[in-house]
Amino acid sequence: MARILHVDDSSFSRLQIGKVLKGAGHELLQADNGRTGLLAVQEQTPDLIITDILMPEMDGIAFLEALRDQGNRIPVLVVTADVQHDTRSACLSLGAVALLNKPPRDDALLSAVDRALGRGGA
Amino acid sequence: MVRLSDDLLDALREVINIGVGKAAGTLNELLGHHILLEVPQVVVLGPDEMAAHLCQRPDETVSLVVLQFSGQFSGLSTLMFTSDSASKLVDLLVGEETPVDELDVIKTGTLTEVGNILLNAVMGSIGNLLGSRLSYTIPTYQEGALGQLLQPIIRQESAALEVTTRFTVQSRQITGEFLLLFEVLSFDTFVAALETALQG
Amino acid sequence: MEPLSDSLLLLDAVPIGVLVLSEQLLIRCWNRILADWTGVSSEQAVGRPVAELAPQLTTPRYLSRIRPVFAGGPPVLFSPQLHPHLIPCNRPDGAPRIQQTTVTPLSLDGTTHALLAVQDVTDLVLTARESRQLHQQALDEIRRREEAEEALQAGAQRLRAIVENTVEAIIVINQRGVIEEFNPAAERIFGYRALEVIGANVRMLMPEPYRAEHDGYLERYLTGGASHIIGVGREVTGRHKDGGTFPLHLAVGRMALGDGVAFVGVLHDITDQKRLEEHLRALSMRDGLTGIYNRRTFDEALEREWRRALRQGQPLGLVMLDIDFFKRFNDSRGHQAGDACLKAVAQSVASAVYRPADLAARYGGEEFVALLPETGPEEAARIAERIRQGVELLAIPHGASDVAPQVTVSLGTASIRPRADQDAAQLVNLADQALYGAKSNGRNRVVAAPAVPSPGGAVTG
Repeated sequence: MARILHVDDSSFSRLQIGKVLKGAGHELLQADNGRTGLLAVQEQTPDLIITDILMPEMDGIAFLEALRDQGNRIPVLVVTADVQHDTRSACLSLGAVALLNKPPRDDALLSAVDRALGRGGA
Repeated sequence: MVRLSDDLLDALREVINIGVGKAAGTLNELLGHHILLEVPQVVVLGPDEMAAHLCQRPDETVSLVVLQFSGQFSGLSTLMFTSDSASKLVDLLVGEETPVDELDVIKTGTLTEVGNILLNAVMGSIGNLLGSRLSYTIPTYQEGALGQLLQPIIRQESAALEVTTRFTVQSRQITGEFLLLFEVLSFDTFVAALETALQG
Repeated sequence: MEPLSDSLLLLDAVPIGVLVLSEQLLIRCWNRILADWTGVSSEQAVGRPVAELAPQLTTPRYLSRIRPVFAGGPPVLFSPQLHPHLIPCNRPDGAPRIQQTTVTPLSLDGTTHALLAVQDVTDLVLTARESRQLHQQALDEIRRREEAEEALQAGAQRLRAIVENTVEAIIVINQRGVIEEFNPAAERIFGYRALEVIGANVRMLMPEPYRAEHDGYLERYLTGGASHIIGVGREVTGRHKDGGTFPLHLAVGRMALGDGVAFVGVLHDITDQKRLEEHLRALSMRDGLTGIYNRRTFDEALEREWRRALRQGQPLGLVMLDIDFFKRFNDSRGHQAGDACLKAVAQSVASAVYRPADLAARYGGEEFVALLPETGPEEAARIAERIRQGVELLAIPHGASDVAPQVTVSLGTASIRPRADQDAAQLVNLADQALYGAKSNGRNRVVAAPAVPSPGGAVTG
């Protein structure tokens, strides 16, 4: 049971992933790009952030950079359609704890969430 | 013709986005370079809008890869590159030292394959969501004036989804336009299937 | 494995290679054309994993495209331009067959199979290439004639001056192969004076076995067959007066002289160019900063070793490591110190793996990898620990690290005995996850991935 912020420009994706998280008893916050995501992080201090990469205005990479620059200690999980290895390495080197490809399987998503939360402020 | 709600359109955009992401993974391996993706744009066009859309640039030379599908719903899936994007892709894939005389053969081969990769990924992603099995023909390649290539195709179709996907490789921007053209009534079936899939 | 029904025997009659694969990647059908091309009969092929006959097909880059066909996906094309040799087979003359492959779904015994139709397009591709060459030769011929006429008009003296002063070596021989002209540039590259060679056979400038063949070339050319060397430049080997050999670029032109012919050879020494090519090739495998292998070399080695391990049933080990708080190090000590640190750590990683098949590479940024063939999980962890200690012993002062006063590394290790249904990316994922385990458990430590990957538990990648 945790407060999870999900950042994704697709309302479809927010709905699908939201359903799974709520089903597991988590509290859900949502934002539709990196910029609104940053505001939500400051105002609501979630326990975990899940972000998409390909988004208008501020994409996931810029979001991860901004979080890192602010000294963020909240674990970040990336869920993206971009399966390229460079994207994965970029996210991981910017401090993301793991990366899942879209569409994530429900069990894979939940176990990644649990693992990310278990790690705390790594 | 059935109109798509914003929610359905968004879902469709995300599903196509997943397909394009997968195709980018394959192209990344072929090219050996990272592919910078942009969010694809999806628009629904009725028959009149399609014709109007074409009239804007009927003489433009384009490369077109066409895949026919049939089953629960039927139609054509096409991927179009402008000649500029097409030659950038061929350059990236086979190198710029290619002799001009061989270029036609090489262009046909490589662009058909790139089209095959993108069309398969997008159709596969849609098929996964809808859980529908479709039959496909082997893709074909055509090159020529946009109006001449598309005119005979769109006359028979009822509606189309137009997807514009842009990606950048090695600071070269490449634009692919993906048209999903449905036969009469097939579009309605498609929308209904989409609604069912999203409620499930 | 059940043999296929008789109706599939008609596949033997079609003039394309046909291969039918089950979802388990076993060969269900291998038609007569494929048997002819590969020398492997249908009886030998059917029932075997396709990885044994066409290993390329089971690498992730091909498999990820073929897999959807088993789920009824659209046909997949592999163009001859991008994938010319999917099924290893040669033409009778030894040249590899250039192939165009189409993969379509095929329903057999109630399950979906993949049908690979392989077309030999060698002739099409070669014809296109040949017609381009013929065209080019015709253009060259016209240009040569024009040049010859010009030269005639300009007078013999000017021609002589050109021959004497050009940087290209020029050798003229008659139809019996006797040297008639040998310019100063030719003297320089072969070490002979013109007087020493004029009147001798041109064979003296060639090492064996080209020496013996040369008379045959001339003979064939003079009796009507076009020589493959006329008009088209190519690389040959020359023999210096001191006995040494060196690479040459040679273009030969034919010159009508009264009732006979002479051949004009224009040569230049390409030793330096060759050396440069070698050097560039070596460089392209290396990381520019640290001098150890780069990511691309690692990726290629990984695929190769994965296939080898799969064939031989051996484990394949991998260590992935990352410099702890490297960004802080860079920020506090500057980029030059950062680069020096990367170099030192790279050397440390490279010196910790010393078996010939092991490979240490820079994976990107401050990440390094060590690929360890025939290495189980314990041994991989031992090597990782050796690397960790090696880096600690470098004693590079850090100052901004939370874990130690000097530069340290976190390491993740994994080892898999590959199965046909896995791919090399899984090994990387496991080691990657172990590495993140090491980082989140305090850094400056080795964490080994669990011995057997649980199919559902891993993060999908």
